[in-house]
Amino acid sequence: MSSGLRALGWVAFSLCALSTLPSIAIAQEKDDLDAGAKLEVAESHVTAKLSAMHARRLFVLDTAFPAAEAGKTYVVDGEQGTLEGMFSQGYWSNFAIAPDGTEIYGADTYFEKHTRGTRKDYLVIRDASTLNVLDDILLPNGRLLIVTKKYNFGVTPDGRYGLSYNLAPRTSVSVVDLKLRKYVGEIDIPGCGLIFPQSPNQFTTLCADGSVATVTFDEKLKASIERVKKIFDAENDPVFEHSAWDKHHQMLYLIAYSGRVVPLDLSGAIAKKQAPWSLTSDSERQSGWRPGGWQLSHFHGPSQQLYVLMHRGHEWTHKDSGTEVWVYDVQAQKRLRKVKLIKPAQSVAVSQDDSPLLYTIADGAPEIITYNASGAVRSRLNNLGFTPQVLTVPGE
Amino acid sequence: MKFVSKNVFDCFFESSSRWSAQRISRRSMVATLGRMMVATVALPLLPVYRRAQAAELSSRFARTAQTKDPAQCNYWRYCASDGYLCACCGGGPSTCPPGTTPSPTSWIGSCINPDDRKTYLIAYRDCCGTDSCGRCACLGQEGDMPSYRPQLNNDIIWCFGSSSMVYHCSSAALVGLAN
Repeated sequence: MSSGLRALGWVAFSLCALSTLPSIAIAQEKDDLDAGAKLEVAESHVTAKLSAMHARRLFVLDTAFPAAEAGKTYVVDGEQGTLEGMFSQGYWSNFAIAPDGTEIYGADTYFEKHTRGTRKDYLVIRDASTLNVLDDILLPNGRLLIVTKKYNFGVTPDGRYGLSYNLAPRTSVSVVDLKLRKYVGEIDIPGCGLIFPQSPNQFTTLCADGSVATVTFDEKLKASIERVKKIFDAENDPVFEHSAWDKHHQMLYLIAYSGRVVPLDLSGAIAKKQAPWSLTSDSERQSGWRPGGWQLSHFHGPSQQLYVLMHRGHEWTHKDSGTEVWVYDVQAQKRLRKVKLIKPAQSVAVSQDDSPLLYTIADGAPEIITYNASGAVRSRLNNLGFTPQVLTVPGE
Repeated sequence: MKFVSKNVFDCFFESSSRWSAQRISRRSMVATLGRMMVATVALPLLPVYRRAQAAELSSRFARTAQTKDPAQCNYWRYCASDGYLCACCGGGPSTCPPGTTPSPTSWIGSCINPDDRKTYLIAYRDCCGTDSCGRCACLGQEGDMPSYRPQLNNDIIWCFGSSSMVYHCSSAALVGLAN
C-alpha cells in the first residue's frame, strides 16, 4: 500500500470513528442501524410497533390463492385507511384476536419443503404490538384445509382456549390452552362443522342434518353434546358459514341462502331457536335480491345491527359478490338502510365502535374500500396482497 | 367398467356412486349421504357424489356450454368443477400437469354434452403436489353446500389420500354414460 493510500485510509477511519460517536447513544436505544455505518447526519433506524388494540383496526387475511402457501394477514388502520403492518401465515390459514387484544392467533399449516415434505399444523401466537411470534403450538391431528372459513377457528370469550376445526375425516375440534401454551386434545363433533365459542367452556357447531349442537367441556375435555334438531333446512335452504355472530350477546343469526334469518340464542346449554324472519320482502325476492359473497355478513354489537351483502341473482349464486349492503335492526327485524357499494364486494365487516366503519373487500384488483356509517366512501386501500378474503375487527 | 381408482376402497364408492347417479334421484342420494355422514362420523368421505347437475338442457350451465375449448370455464364437462382448470396448466380435462399427482379420490358429477344431448358421468379429481396453477379460475356454485356438509362443498382441498395436500388444479375426466 502506498503512503498516499495509507493516509487516505486513516482519514476514512477517522471520519468513520467520528461518525460513530453520536450513534452510540442511539444504539443504546436499540437503533437497528450498525453504528459503523452511520454519518453525523444519519437518523436513527428503528422497528415500529403497533399501538394498543383499538376499535378501528382491521385485520385482512389474504389467502393468496395463486400461491396459497404464502397466506398472510395485513393490519390496517381503518381510521386512516392505511397499512400498519403484515405478518406471514401458512396454507389456508385462520386468524383470531385475543379478547384482551394483547395477542393475535393464527391457525397455520406448513410443509417442510414449501409444497412438499412433512406437513405440520400449528396454532401460532403473536404479540399484538410487535407482531413477533411468542409461541408455536403443534396441532398433532392437523386442521381442515379449506379456502378459509372464518368460523373454523375461534377463541373462548375468556381467552383461555383456542379451538380449531378438523376433518381428517373424523370431524373434531382441536383444543389449545392459550394460557398454558399447550395442545390439550380433540373433542369429537360427529357430522358437524364450524365453531362459535359462546362461553369459557362451551361452543356451538352446525350440523349436516340441519341440527345445531352445543358442546360443553371441562378441563380434561370431557364433553357433553346437546343437539337440537331441525334448526334449519340443510337440504333445501342451507345457512351460510359466514352467518352473523354476536358473541357478546351469545346470539347467532343464521342466514340461509334464500335470505331467511334464523336467530339462535346460545346463552344456555342448548341452542334456542327464535322466530325466523327474512332479509327480503316478497317483491324483493321476486326481483332476485338475495344474500351472497364470502364473508357476506357481520354484526355490529353496540347497535344490534346486522350487515349483509346483497345482490340480484338466481338460485346458486350464493358466492356472487354483493352490490349493496343492507343493514337491519335485529330486534325490530326491520331494514334500516341500504349502502350502495361503488364496487361489488366479496366480504364485509363493521368496526365495533359507536359510529362504525364499513369495510369491504372489493372485486377485481385487491382493494379494501371503507365506507362511513352513512354510506359515503371514506378511504380506499389498494394493492393489498393477492386475494384478501376474510376480515376481522377487535371486539367483534 | 374401468375404474378411476385402483384402490379397492375407492372403487367400491366409485361404483356405488355410478350406480347411484343413474338410479337415485339427486335429493334422495344427497339425503342418504348426509345421513351416512352423520352416522359414521364422516367416514368414509371419498370419493364424493357431488350433487349432480341438472339432467335437462334447460340447466343454466348446459345452455351456454361448449365442447371445443377445455381451457374455458363453460367447457361442457366443467358443470360441477371448481378451481383452476388443468387444461390451462399443462394438463387437460383428464390429464394432470407434469410434476403433479392425481388425488386418488374424486367426486362424480353428471354433465350434458350439448353435441349429442346425452348426460355423461364426470370424475372431478384434483391434481396435487405443487403450488396453485393460478390460471383459468372457474367458480362453480351449482349444488355447492356449506362445509358442514363436506361431501357437497367445493372449497375443501380435495387432495385427501394424495402424497401431498397441496392443490394445483382441477381435472374432469369422462368416466361413462349416465343413461
